[in-house]
Amino acid sequence: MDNSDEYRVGWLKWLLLVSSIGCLALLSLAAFQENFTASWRAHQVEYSKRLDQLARATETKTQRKSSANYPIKVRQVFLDEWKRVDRCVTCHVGIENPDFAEVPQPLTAHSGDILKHHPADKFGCTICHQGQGRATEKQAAHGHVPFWDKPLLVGDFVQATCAKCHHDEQVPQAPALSHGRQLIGQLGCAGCHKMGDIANRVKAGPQLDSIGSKVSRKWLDKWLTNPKDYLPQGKMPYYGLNPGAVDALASYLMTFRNGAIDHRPKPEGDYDTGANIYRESQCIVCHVTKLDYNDNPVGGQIGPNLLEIGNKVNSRWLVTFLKNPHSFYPNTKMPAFHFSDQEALDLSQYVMEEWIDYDLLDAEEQEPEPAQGTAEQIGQGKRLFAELGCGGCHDLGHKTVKPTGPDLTFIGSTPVHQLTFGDAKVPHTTPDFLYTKLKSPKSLHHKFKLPTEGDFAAAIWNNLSPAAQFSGSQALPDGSEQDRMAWVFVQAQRAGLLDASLKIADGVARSQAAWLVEELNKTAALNPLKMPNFQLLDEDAKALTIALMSLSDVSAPSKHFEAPRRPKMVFNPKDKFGKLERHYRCLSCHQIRDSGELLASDLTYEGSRVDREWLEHYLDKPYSMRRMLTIAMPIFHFPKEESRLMADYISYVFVDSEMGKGWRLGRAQADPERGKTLFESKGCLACHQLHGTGGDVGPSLTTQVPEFPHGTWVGDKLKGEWIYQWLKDPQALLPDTIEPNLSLSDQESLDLTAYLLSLKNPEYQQLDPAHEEPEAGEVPEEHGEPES
Amino acid sequence: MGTESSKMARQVESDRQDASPGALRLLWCNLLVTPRSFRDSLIRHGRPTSERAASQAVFTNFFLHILPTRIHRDSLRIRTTLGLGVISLVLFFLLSLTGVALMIYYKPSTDLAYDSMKEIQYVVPTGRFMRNIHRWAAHGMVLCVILHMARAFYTAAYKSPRQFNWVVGMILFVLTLALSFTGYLLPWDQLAYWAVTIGSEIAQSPREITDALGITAWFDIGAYQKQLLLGANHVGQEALIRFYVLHVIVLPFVMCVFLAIHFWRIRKDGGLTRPAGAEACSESEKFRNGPPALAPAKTYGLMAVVRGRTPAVDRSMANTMATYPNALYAIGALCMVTFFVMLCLGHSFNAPLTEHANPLVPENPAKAPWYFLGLQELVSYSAFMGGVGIPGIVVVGLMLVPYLDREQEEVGVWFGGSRGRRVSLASALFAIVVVVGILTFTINYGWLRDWYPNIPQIVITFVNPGTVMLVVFSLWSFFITQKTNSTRMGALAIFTCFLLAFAILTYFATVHRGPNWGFYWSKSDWPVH
Repeated sequence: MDNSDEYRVGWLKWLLLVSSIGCLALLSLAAFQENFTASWRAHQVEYSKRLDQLARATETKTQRKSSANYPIKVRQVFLDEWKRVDRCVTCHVGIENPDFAEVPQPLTAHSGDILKHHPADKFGCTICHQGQGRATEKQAAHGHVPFWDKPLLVGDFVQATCAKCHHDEQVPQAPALSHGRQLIGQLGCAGCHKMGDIANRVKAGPQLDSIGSKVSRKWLDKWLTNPKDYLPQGKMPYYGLNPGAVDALASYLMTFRNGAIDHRPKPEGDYDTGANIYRESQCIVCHVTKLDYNDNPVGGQIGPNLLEIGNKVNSRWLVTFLKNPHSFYPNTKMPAFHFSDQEALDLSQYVMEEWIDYDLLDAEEQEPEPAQGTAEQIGQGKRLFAELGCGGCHDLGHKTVKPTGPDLTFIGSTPVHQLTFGDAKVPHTTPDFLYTKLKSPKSLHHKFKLPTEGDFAAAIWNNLSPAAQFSGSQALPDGSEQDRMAWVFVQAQRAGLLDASLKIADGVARSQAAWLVEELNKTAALNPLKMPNFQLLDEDAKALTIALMSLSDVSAPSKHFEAPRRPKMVFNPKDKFGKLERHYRCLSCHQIRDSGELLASDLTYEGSRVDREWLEHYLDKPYSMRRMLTIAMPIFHFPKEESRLMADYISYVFVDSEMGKGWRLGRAQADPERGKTLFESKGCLACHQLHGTGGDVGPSLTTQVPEFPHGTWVGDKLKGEWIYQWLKDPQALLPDTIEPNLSLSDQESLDLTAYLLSLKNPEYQQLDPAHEEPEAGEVPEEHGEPES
Repeated sequence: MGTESSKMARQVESDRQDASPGALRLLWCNLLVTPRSFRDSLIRHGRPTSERAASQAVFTNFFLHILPTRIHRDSLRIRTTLGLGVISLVLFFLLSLTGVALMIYYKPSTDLAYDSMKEIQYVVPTGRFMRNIHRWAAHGMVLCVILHMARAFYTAAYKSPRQFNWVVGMILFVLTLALSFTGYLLPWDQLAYWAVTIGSEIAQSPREITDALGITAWFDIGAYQKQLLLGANHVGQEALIRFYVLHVIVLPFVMCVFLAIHFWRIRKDGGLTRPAGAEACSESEKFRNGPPALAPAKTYGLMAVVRGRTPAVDRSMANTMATYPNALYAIGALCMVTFFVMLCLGHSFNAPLTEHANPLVPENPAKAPWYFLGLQELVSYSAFMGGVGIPGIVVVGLMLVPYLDREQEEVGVWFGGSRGRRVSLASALFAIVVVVGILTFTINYGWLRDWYPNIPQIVITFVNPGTVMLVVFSLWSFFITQKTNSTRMGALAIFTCFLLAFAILTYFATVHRGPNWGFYWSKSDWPVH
C-alpha cells in the first residue's frame, strides 16, 4: 500500500466519523423536538401553573394536591360515530373549566352554555368549529395549511355547521344562520339554484301573464335596466342588462296582454271618494306612499311602492286588479276588499292621480314611443328570459322551469380550488368566495388581456346581437369597451371557435370578424354569468353566506344527533273560515300557528285572549289600540255574517285550554281593590294609559276612539285567563314583548287580573246589554259559546 | 488484540495448572474470561494487523464475504462508480427500515388509511420524520437507480461477462419503479388516488389496439389488466390492499432475491468493470512484485466455476488493496453520508399529503409521480404507446443491448474514450433538438387528430409524437453505427437519446403541463377552471 492509499483511507475515516456524528445529532434533535419542544406542552405547563395558583388561592389542601401533577400529554376526544378524533383539547385544555373564562387563549373556557347542550364527549370540537382535529400544531389544527379544505370557522360563521343537525329554518342561538335561511326563501334563491331540500313554495316574484296590459313600456324598460332605481327595497335584483337586452326582454314581455283589460273603457272616478276609501283601507300598512324628509320610505313594505305608480301602471289594469286582485296573482298578499265597481273606479282615480310624477310624464312624452318589438327582438327576449332564469321567480304561462344556476346543494363543502375567484383580490376561502359573489357577483372573474387587433374586435362587438352582447357585458365588472373585446375573444376561445393563439381553429381563409360575429350570434349567450346583483346589505350578505356554507355534504352520522324538527304547520283549512282567510289574506299581517307574518298580533290563541263580542265589534270597525299609532287594521266592511263567523271561529278554535288555569281556580279569592293598589304601586301607568293619563309605551287600557262610540276598555276586551297568564310571564306568550316580568305571586296576579277585568266601559256595556260576564268557574270551552 | 487474548488464555491455562484442579475454580475462571472468549468466538480473529488477517477478516465474516478480500484500486475511485450502486442499496435498506416502522401504524383500508397518515404525521413519535425519510429516500432511490444504470451503460459495464447482470439490473430498475408506484397509493390522498387512476387507465390502454382490431368484445386484455391491478373497476379498497401487499411483501421480497443475484453476479463476473489498459499495466507489475502469495489459498478452490481465464482476485495484485479497511471505510462513509443527507431531508422537508381521496373531485391536471411524467406526456398522445408500447420497447431494447453490442474495446472507460464522448455529446444535442422540436410542433400545430378529425385511432396509435421520436432515435443510432462502424457507438447514441428524451419530457410534463394537459409556460398561467 502506498501513501496515496493511506491518505484516502484517512479521508474516508474522517468522512465516516463526521457523517455518523451528523446522523446521531439529527436523530437526537428529532427525539428532543418530539419530547420537549411541542408548543402544546408549553400550554399545558401554563395550565398546570394556573391550576396551582387557583388551588393556592382556595387554600384547601386536598384541592392543592389534586391540581399538582397535572399530566402533560396529548389529550383527545374520540367521536366514534363521526369517525373523528379531536385533539383540540391538547392546547385548549381549559375548555370545560369555568375558572378559565378570563384566561387568554388557548386556555380559555368555552363561551356561553353551548357545551351544556352539546357535550364535548359527544360532539367534540371540529363538528362545529371545523379545522383539523387530528393535528397537534396550531396552524395545522386550525386548518390554515394547504390541502385542508375545512379551516377553523370564526365568528358568526361557526353557525354554518349547526345545519348538520338543525334542519329548521330557525335555529336557536344561531341568529345569522336563521336569518340567512329566511333570506334564501325570501329572495327565491331556489328558483335558479338547486339547494337540497330547500324549495320555493311560492315564487318570489309576481306572475307576468298580463304584464303587457299592466305596465307602460317605458316603465318596464327602466325597471329592467335597474329595478333598484325604482324600488330600492324591492326583491328584483340588478342584472346589468345592456340597452339591447332590455329592448329585447321588454318587447317579449309586452306581448303578454290581457284582452279583458285592454277592452275596458277608460276608467273615470271621483278623486275625493277614492281618498276616503284609501284611508279606510289602510293601504299604508302594506304600501310605501311617501318619502319623509330624509327620503326614507314611509309605509309598509309588503306590497309594492305606490310612488310614481301613476307613471307605471295602466289605469284599466288597476281597476280590474282592485276589484279582484287574486285573479291576477293567486299568491299575492293583497286582500280582496269588497269594493263596488264605483269604489274601485274612485280608488283607482285617486291612486293614479295622487302618485304620479308629472315631470317624469312630460319627460317621457318627449321621448319617442318605443317601437313595437320586432319578431327577432321578441325571440331574443324569449331566449333571454329563459337564459337568465327569470322563470325562477316569475310565472309566465304554465311552463315548468329548470334551475338555470349552479347546483348549490353542497356548496358549503365544495373544495376551494373548484371555486372561481378570478383576479379578485379576496382571500381564497369558501366564505370569502360566497360573500363576494353575493355582494358583487361580477367581481369574481378574470380580467382578460385584450388581444392585439383593436379594430377587429370592435367590428365584432358592434355586430353582435343584443343577446350575445348581453352575455358579454355580464362577465365583466364595468363593461368597458376593452373588457368587452377581451371577453369576446375569451368566449370564442372557450367555445372552441378560436384556438390558443386566438386564430380561427380550422384556419379557413375568410373574414375572421364576419365569421366570428356569425358564430357568436348563433351561440348568442355562450356561458353568460347570470347571477344578478341583489344589492344586499353587508349583514344580509353575511347571513346568506353562512346559510350557504351550511349546505354541506357532512351530516350527522345518526338520527339521535339531529335536533328534533319542529313540524311546520301550514294553516290552510278547507272550511268557511279558511275560505274567508284566503279572501282577506289575514296571514299577510297575522300569524296563525307557524303560518303568516307577525306584522299584527298572533292569532293562534286569540280565542283564549279576547272576548268574542268585542272581537265581532272590532272586526266590524277596527281601531288603533295605541294612541300614538295611527296605522290599524284596514276597514274591510265585512258583511255581518262574515264577521260573526270569524268571531265565532276564532273564539272556538284558536284557544288554549291550559291558559290561565290559575285564574279559573282562584278567581274566587281575587280582590279587585287589592289589585288596584298593586296597579298603582307597580307603576303600570308609566307605560299604559288609564282614562287619559299614563304612558304611551304599552297599549291603552281604556281606549277612547272619537268616531267609535263604544271604545273598549281592557275589561271589555280581554279574558281573565289571558290577563292572568300574561301577568305571570309575558314573555311566555309573546317572546319579544317589552312588558316586564314583575314576578308577581299567584295572589297578586289574581288581584291584578280582577282589577283589570273590572275596567269596563259603561257605555259599551249599555250598548250591548245582552253581554254578560260568564259565571265563575265556567269552563272556557263553553265560555266562547256563540249567542246567535 | 488477538495476541492479547491468547496471552490471557495462556494465563488462565497456567492458573489452572498452578491451582488445585477444582472444577468450581475452573468455572469461576471461565466466567471471568467469558466476555473475551465470547468476542473471540464471534469475530474469530483479532484486529487484522497483517494483510492476511485483513483478508481473513473479510472472508470469514458473513456480512462482508460478498466483498472480495482484495479490491482493485480503480474500483474504489469515486469517479469509477460515483457510489451510485451502494447509495441505491443503502436507500433500499433505509426504506425497508422506515417502511417497517410505518407499517406498524399504517392501516390499509380506505376508511382508515388517510387518518392513519394523519396520526403518523401528528401523534406517532417521530412518525412524520420517518415518513419524510421514507418518501425522500424513495424518490432518491429511483433517481440513483436511473443514474446507476446510466453509469453502468456509459462505462460499458454491461459487456461480457456482465451481460446477464445488466439484465438483472434492468429488472431491479423496473422493480424499483413498481415499488415506488405501489407506495404512491397508500396515503389515500387525492394525489395518490388520481395518479393511480391514471396508472390503471394506462393498464387498460391495450384496449386501443383491441378496439382497432374490433376484438375487444371477445378479448379485452386491457380491461383484464386493469382488473388484475385494481381488483375492481375503480380505485378502491381492493386496489389499496393489492398495492399494499405488493408494496410491503411481494415486491421487496422479489427485490431482495434479484439484489442477491445482482451482487452475486458482480463478484462472479469479476468485480467492477475497469479498463483493460489498467489490467495490462497491472499484468506487468505483477511480476515486479512477485506472485500473489498473500491471497488466501482457499479461493483457488472456487476457480473452476468462475468464468474467465484466471480468477479476478488473482490478477494485478499490485493494483489491488485490501478490502479491509479500504473498501469498508469507503462503503461505510458512503452509507453514513447517504443516511445523513436523508435525515437532513427528512428533517427539513415534509412529505406532501393532500386532501382525502375523493372520487367525485378529480384533480386537474392529475399527474403521475415525477418518474412517470415523461411517460404520461407520451400517454397524452396515445395511451397504449405511451403507457405500454414505448416503455416496453425501451426496456426490452435496453435488456438486449449487451447481446447486440458485443465489442470488447474500451470497457470500463467512461463513454469509451474521446470518440464515444463525441458521439454522446452529438446524440445529446440531437435528442434535445428532436424532442424540443417535436414538442414545439405538437403544441403549435397539433397532431393528426386536429387535422383529420375522423382519422382512425389505430393510425394515431402508431404515428404519434412518441413513436416518431422512437423511430428517429433508432434511425440516428443506425446512422451512428454505420458511420463509426461500431455497435458500441450506436448503443451510446440511442441510450443518450433515450436518457435526454426522458429528462426533457419529465421536465416538460412537470412544469409546462396544466389543466386538461394543456400547455402553459408556468403554473401561474393556469386557468382557475
